[in-house]
Amino acid sequence: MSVSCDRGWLARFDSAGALLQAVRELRDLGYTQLEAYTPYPVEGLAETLGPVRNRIPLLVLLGGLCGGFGTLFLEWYASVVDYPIDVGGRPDASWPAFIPAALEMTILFAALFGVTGLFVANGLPRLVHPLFAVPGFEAASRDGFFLWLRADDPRFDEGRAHADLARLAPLSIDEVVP
Amino acid sequence: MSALPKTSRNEGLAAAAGLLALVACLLLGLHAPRVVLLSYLFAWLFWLAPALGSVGLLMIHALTGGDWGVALRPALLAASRRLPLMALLLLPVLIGVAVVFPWAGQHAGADPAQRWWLDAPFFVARAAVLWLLWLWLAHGMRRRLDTPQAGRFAAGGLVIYALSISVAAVDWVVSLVPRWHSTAFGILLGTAQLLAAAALAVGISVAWREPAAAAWTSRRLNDLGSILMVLVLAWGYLAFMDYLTVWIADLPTETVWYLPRLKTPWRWLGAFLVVFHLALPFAVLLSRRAKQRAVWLAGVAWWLFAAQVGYAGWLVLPGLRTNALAWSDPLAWVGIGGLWWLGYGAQRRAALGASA
Repeated sequence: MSVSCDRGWLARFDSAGALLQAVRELRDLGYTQLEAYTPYPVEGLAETLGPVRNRIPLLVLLGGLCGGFGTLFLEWYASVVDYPIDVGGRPDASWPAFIPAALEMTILFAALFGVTGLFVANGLPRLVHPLFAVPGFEAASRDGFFLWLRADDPRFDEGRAHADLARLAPLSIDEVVP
Repeated sequence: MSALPKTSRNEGLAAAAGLLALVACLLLGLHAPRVVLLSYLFAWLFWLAPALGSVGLLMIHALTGGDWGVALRPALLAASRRLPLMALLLLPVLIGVAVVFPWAGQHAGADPAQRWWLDAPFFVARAAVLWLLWLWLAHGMRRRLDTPQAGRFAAGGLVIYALSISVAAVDWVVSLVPRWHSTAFGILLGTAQLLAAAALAVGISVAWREPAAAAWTSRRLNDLGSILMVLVLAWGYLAFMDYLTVWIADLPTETVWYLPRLKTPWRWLGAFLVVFHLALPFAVLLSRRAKQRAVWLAGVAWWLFAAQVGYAGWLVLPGLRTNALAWSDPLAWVGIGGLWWLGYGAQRRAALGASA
């Protein structure tokens, strides 16, 4: 999902069920670029909106590998190359003793990469969004169930999309303009 | 529940094969009692794990709740009913205590400070107390399932389980190696038992689930996979921490356990456990798609259960016999295992019917 799009139609529905039904029908018509805003998590909505393919899992894996092997390398470099100390006759490269720190850093880096990737992929931090300009959109955190049909949808045609939305009998349809 | 539990044809065949294998063990044991009794102890520890670990998982579920416990309960209940059999099958070890355990033999060199604890009559008395506690826990937990007292009973029961498994681990595994001690060992053995019980229960519950039942959602499969992953990680963590502290302290009383395991070809069993009991199952269980596919989940569960054979062998066998392996190892395993399944299927189905 690209973050650059900020046009389209925003429809408001009066219940979670109506929103779910609308999403389902639009998916059947072939629309893919749909986003939904609800005051509480709606069971099944995420699956209905369609499969989300993103690269966050890969990024988390990469972060984990960087943190783990990077720490192992750092420990090896510090205690073998840079500053070897004889601790009770143990080998400089004490691999078993290197593992706990490497494990912690694996987890830390996996989490950092994941969260950073989440922000970048969602275009955050972003203080203003065109949706905020739509009158009544603040109800999304109260009692409004909104569906945003994005203009970057391959099937999007301004007139036909409006007609498709209107057929679903929403409370209102507003244009989203940047 | 008043009717006698029925047994299937396969279970009858398995039990017959088990009896034959045990008779073969007995014949072999007339020539080499120590070799065979070590095999027997290995096999007995392996089959004890799913029975006793199931009681532990039932108690954990009584405290935490969750759909995973509902899914596994029939299999766990049936496995927990193997405990009386396992108590009975400990008898050969108790009879042969002077043969198996170095501290009880003729050349007993036990430390004077340890001698009052490592004493044959006291050893048998401890085993009797442990089994009374465990049978009581299993029976009490089964009776209190889904009642308001279940949580309190389970809380106390888990404390008893953690303490008693430490005593059992010291008696039946640690005392095989003179002068060795490890503070982490009891909890490590307990975690391995929970893992074996969960692996068997997941393997059976997923493979023989009602395909049409609506309760078997992908979310439930995911939860079961996560439980397996947590137990694999806990086991791996404890086992590694035990090794790390021994390696770093490098004291004779601690390394005496690892030397025959790491300075001999037994090290390949250790490598096998690290790769196939820790790394590989962990990597598979990391994937959400693998966890949510019944075939994969059941496969990993069965694989983990099978790999526990390696861990039970790792606990008992290295360094105590001239030959690493003996014919009595598989015979004892088949012998106890064949008897283990007698009546399992009917008891699981009865529990399934009761919960439905």
